Amino acid sequence: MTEPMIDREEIRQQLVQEFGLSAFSEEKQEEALEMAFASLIKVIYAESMAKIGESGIEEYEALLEKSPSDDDIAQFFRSRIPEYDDFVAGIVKEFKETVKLS
Amino acid sequence: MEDKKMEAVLARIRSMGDKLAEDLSLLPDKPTEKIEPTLSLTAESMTESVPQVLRRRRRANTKHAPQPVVEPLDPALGGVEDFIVTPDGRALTSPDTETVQHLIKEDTTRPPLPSAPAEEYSAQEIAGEFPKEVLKGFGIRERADGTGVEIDPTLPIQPLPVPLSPEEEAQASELIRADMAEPAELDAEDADLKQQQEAAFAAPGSAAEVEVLRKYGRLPKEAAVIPEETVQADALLETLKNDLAIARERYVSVDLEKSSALLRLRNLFGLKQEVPLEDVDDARTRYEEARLGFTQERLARIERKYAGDRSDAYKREMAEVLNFGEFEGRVQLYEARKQAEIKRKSSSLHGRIGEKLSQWMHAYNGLKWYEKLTIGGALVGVTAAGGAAAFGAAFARAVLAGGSLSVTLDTALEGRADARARAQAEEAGQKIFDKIAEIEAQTGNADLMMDMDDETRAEKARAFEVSVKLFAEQHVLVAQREASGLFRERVDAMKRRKLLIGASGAALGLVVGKGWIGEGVQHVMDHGTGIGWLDQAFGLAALPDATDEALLPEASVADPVATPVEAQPAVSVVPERVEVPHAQGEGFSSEYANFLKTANVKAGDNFWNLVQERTGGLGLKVGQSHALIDAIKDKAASLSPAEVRALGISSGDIAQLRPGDRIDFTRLFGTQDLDRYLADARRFVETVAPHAPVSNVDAVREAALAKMDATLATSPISIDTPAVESVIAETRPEVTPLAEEVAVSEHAPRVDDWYAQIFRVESPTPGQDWVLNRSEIMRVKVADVIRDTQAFAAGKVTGYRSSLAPEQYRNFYEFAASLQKAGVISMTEFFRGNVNGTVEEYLKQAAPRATQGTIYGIFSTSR
Repeated sequence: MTEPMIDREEIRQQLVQEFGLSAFSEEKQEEALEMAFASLIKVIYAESMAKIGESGIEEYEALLEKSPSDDDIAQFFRSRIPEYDDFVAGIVKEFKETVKLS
Repeated sequence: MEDKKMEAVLARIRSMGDKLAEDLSLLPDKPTEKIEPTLSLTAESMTESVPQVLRRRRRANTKHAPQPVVEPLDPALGGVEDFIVTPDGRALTSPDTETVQHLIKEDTTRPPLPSAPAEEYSAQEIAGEFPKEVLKGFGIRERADGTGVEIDPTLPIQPLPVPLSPEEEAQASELIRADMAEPAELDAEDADLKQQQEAAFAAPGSAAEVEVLRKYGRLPKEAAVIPEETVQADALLETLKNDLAIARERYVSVDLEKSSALLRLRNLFGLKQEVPLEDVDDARTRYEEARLGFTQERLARIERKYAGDRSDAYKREMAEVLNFGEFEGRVQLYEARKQAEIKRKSSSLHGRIGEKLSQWMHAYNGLKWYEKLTIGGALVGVTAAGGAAAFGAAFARAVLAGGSLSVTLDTALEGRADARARAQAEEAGQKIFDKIAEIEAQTGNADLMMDMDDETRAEKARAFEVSVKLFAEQHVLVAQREASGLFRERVDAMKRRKLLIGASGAALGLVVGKGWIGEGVQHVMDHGTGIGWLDQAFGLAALPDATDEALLPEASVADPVATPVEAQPAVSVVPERVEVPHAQGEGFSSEYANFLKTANVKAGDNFWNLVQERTGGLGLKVGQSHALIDAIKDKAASLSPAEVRALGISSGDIAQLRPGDRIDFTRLFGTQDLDRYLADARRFVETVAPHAPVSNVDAVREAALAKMDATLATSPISIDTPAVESVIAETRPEVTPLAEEVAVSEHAPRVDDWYAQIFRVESPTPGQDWVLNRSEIMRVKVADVIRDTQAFAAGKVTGYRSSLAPEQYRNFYEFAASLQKAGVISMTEFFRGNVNGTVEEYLKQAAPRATQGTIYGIFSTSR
């Protein structure tokens, strides 16, 4: 597994602060983050699928059969959902506003 | 011994002879004669001549020698009366006793005859009778030249068993005896089969199944030592978790549905329809209850784990479970909400997306959060180029970006939706006003100007313009009322939710007495790991009200209610008051401590007595206390059964308290509500002369009457006769009573309620000839009521026009003065619209503008 380029600990600390998880033990912090990101990415994925529609899903599945690269996948979504970065960022923002403990 | 044997043999021989003689005697007319032996029987010839019974045997019986086989006597012996067959197969005729004795001795002393050679299958015979596959199984193969079969020499030769030594024999015998004393052991295959059979009869997931699996060692070692109560606790937790998931799904589904309906309604002004929010609140309540149950079980497990130990570890773990549960609940609620939204807007795709999601997430769940960041970024296509690391970094940046509003999803969305709806209401209302004013100004003014002098024309034009504006304003009000009414419901709903959240915290507090949570919370406080939501839920700190914050910034910007009216100074219509919460939520004042304390219902208690008990600590006079009780009564009457249950009244009906109910009065009020009610109550009686109250109702009414008497002559409200006359003179009698056009029937219950309070005459004045009935009173002109009221105040005994009872005059005055003071409707405004307006018209015009739950004078607006 390739590690993120951003320092993991730095990200973790920032997320812990943002989500209001500082009262947790480190173990619980990890658990909370894993749960949160599983949910977040699930929602992003589902929203993306809903956005591209039936035909888009078929194309996406066809793309997956070709063992696409990350670039291919990224390009796929970008080409089918306008302002995709903003779209994802909006979901992320809403998610954080909703779940943060503060 | 030998004699006996011999006798037995002789007896047998005789028997055989008798039988033979008998058979011979049955032959037809053949003379009995002595037959001489004609054959020399030898063993060999005998053997050869006797057909074999067993044609083939695969193997020799090495234990038992073959028994001589006696075939039916040779026909050549027919007629021989006495003969014997020797063991070696010879037949002796007419044996004498010596011979027989010799034979017997020989038979019992000589060794057994050697066994006959076993007849084996030949290879050819075997090949001819069995398929090759079978032969192969026996290690037999065909010869290469095809001439038959042979034993396959390539097969490994089974070693012959080595004979056991005596010691080994003894040991084996011991093992066999021990084995026979124990139940037969099953081989692995049989044991597995039996295990499956047993498990198949146990319900999946049941304790019986666990027991079976444990018995056969199919559970991990640690599972095998889990006590039964732990297994049951796990099952309980799983059940509660499932209940929570179901309740969560229902809540988000109902909430989404109702929110959408609300938005749709807000775009259709004028609809006489209200959106029931009880379903949402009920679903939310059930969700909170399910969450509470799940959390309590989690806490109970920790309690059991520590078994009375109150160390820091215990406290920290308790607090952590609470905190983590809250975070988890928010995440799950968010996800469920988004899923429901996707389902609603993409119903045809939802199933497919869900299917793919579950496939994908199956492999995804085991990843660490940073791995999710990395892979998640790639899968959702965040960033443009680079490898997985770059994707991860980009996604991380996306995650790390974003604002931080202290709102929850539903309230944030609802707040924005409400603000938009209100803005739309304003815009639509203003358009109506502009359009109607334009049309009416053109057509109406033109008609009026035809045969009037300039002064009259100007005056009438102005009056007409006022009427048009009034009409327009009322249209605006209707639209705004729809929007603001719905908006207020939403605000109330959010406030209730806030209270419910608090309620769940309070419910959690029920276990404080068991030491579960209290110490955990205390630990959090002591150690400075303050948890905002927890503090808020437990009332440990006065924190900003997130719900209100969600509304206020946008609500204040778009505060629409007064704007269009204030722009029209010609009339004094003041829109209904909308209860917009303030941004800074404040905790209840300490002076309410006694009033708001939780009531433990006992047999014989009723809600009103409990409320009355609590007003004692507020420093109110009797009238103030009663005014506050009335306000509380109105507030309580507006609650749905779900809301009443949220108060702690299990029946859902305020009139039906049950012993054991715990009523939390903090859930009945927002802090500003209680402040306002108390302030109103205190202000209400500030100028009232003290009276000795006879009853609650009498006290309030007496106070009101005293106030009316004290202020009637110098009332700031311009309803004295000259003012009325002036208005009448200024107003064209033919002016259409436009107010009636907007008096909506849906407020008929409110009109009825007001009527009952204002004109109810409990004790007709002595000497009064009659009491008007409702229809007569409703037709009385308001101007006449005012004149009569003034005459009554002046002590006149004649000249009355309306024939109302004195109390009715007072009541109506008090009511009208209060409406005018509150900005609901002024008398000037009413007379401008219709100088001959009746009591009924007045009430109908005022009803849509009044605010439910507000007391005007001493008269409540509960409907």
